[in-house]
Amino acid sequence: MTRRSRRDRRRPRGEPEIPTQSFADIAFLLIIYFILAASLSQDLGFRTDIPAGQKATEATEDRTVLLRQDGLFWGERPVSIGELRGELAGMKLADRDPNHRVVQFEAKGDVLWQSYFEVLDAIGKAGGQPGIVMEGGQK
Amino acid sequence: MTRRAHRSRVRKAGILIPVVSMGDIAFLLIIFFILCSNFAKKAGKTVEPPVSPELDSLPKPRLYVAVDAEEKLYFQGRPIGSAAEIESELSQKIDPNDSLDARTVIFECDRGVRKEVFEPVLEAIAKGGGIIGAVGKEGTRKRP
Repeated sequence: MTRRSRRDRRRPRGEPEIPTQSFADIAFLLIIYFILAASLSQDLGFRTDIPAGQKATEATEDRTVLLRQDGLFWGERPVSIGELRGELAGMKLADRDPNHRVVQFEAKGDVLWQSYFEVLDAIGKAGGQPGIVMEGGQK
Repeated sequence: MTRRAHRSRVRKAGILIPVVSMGDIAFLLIIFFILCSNFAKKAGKTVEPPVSPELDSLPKPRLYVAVDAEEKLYFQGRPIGSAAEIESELSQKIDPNDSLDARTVIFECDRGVRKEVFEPVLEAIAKGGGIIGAVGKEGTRKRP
């Protein structure tokens, strides 16, 4: 038997075809992946509207939340973040007029975003607006 | 003609569902989902968000500002030089009459970034007319 005749016998007869049926399955699997990934990637956090400019001067009370490297202070008194949440909840900021919800917040020295984030979250959860006091003057 | 003979004729005719076009439709849908998703804006940065016990869901990011662990600033996923540039970009994109969601600027910052870096950015967002949507992770912080 020659080489040619053996090859001919092995080859299927008819037109060569690319199997496209599985493409649809692959594509729909990819769609399901994108749908799931899109809904799972929702960001968590909080929203806060920091008053810009002069509005910050209309602070609710004289008390300031002071954040330093050595701790957190409510006025002069050192507090934990849990205690600060309690103090702010007691002020019932959410029931007040929107113009009187500003809580002064000042960070001094080497403060990291983690601690700052917790304080902003606490003020926001209590219904307040953080009036950020920049070092060397009011914002 | 008997019933058996009729059935065998139907089987011979055969029903073909055109599945080739299904692939085309599916790939069009994939392209649609890729274009609609937001993951491209967040790619290429190492940000370890701060933790807090209770956080809310934030809207889909339309405007996105980030500060990575190396304290580099990003606006809409691309590096930006300073907070002042962020303010000018935002004031062009935000209309004060927009809805709350449209004015929300997603702010993703690494938990270890210093105040000197993130505070001017917060100020820039506020001055640019945005509402800060600070991104965090639910959990409790391990204190030393």
